Amino acid sequence: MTLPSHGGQGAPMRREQFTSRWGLIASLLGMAIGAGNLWRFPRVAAQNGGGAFLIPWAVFLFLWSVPLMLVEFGMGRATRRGPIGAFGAFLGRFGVVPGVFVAFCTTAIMFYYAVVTGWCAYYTVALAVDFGRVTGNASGHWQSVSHFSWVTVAFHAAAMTGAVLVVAGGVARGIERVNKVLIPLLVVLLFGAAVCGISLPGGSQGLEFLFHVDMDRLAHHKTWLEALSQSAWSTGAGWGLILTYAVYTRSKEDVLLSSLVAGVGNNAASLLAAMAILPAVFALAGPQADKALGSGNTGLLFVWLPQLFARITGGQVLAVAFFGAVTLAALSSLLSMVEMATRVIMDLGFDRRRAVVIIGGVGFLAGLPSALHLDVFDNQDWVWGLGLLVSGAFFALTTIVHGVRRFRTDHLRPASGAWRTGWWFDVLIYVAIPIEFVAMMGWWFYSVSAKHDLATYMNPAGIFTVGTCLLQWGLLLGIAAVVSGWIHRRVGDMGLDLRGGGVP
Amino acid sequence: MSVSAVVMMVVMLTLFWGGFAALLTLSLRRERGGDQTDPKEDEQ
Repeated sequence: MTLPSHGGQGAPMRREQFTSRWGLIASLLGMAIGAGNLWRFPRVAAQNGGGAFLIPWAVFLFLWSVPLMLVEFGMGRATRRGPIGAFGAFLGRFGVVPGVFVAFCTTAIMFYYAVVTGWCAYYTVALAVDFGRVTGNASGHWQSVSHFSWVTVAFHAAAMTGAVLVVAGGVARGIERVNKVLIPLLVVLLFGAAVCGISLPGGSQGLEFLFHVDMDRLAHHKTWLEALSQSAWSTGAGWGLILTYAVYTRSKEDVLLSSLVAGVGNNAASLLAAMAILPAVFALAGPQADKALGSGNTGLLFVWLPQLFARITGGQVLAVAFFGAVTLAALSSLLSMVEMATRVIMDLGFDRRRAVVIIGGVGFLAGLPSALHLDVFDNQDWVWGLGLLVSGAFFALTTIVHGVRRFRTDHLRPASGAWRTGWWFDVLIYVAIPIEFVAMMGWWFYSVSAKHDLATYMNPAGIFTVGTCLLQWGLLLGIAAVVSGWIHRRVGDMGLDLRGGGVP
Repeated sequence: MSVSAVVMMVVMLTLFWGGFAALLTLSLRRERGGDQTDPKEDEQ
């Protein structure tokens, strides 16, 4: 391996790394467990047949997420660079283009994810300080917060600043140390919320709804495609985040075991969140439960749940604990996104402090449109959420171009006694991931066509249209193609010595 | 709750929470058993 250890043009220096296995796993869990586990999974599971949804959701963890996590681990550990440098190292100059797509896609999500983190933090504080005002007119309150509100801008800035301060501390003293506290605290809060929710009169209806297997729904293609999409978005596989954390792992890290712990742990947290939310919704909303679950991510979290908490004794404590848990989950994921973007800037030759300040400033400014208007937020969530599926496909394609078996033997070679990644990995990358990608993209684009005529469908200025996706992705890929030569020179020698492999 | 829902709940909790606990324990035990390089080997 001839790659520099820290930054494309800097002199070799002591490489940062996680100090312990638990530190790595806590950081991976922090990355994977985010707002989506708490505000999307319970809602989507309930709307798609409960138990019938859980079966394909469990299956796709192993058919989509785990293989892509392994690819990311292998690329990050082999190149010791962020997504752009890693793709460039595997594919040459033109590999910079998919690398830029992956890196920007996750960075664009970071812009509005800081806004989400800010909303969660604001609701935690507001519910603690003035419970009656927030819950009395929850819909009106949410409207005032989500449209041109200085409060949202202030909490967005606070979320970004908090993430920047942690990431500026480095991997071991910042990210690892904070996640070691956040993750256990998050689990305790979720567990407490689940116990409270289930113990409510009528709470068991929510559990029945979550775990009852409707065989008709299990046979429906929509259930499988929604489960696949949830699995793809939830674990963080294919985002470039695991690749970034893999840069800081030890050479003989047990890659397969760590991927499984993170993936299974992420699903465990999702399950716990659903066991907290659905019993509460069914116990407190009664016949309006369907309406609450159909109100979307922000509608359920910021409009319905505060109203529902207001209907029970001690609801304020439960509300603060629950929103505190969502804030911790969002913050731990935001840290990984800020770190990925920072790693990319560091690969261009900047030191960590300067890079993270640049990312913090750009992240705050680029997140402002989403903070000020919900339509922008929805559009960005739509465009870059689907973009993540493209990112996942780029990872699989890179492995195929490189040679899947060669990738496995060179870059996923286990340490002595560790679990071996076998032939099944080749099958999943060659067959399962491409089929899953085509099915998901086709499904999401088809689902839009049912709501619009062709002109609206292709409208580049629409919020949830195919046209807006193609325009923004096309612009990004075009710009990436133009600057690929410059980035290739800037990051330095991208040749990968395949004889050495990723594990010395 | 119906029997089928209870069975599904037990299966899912065992798969994910039981699986997570088992995998995490195995992973941390292996680390204590010395399956990783000395940190100095990873410094450049």
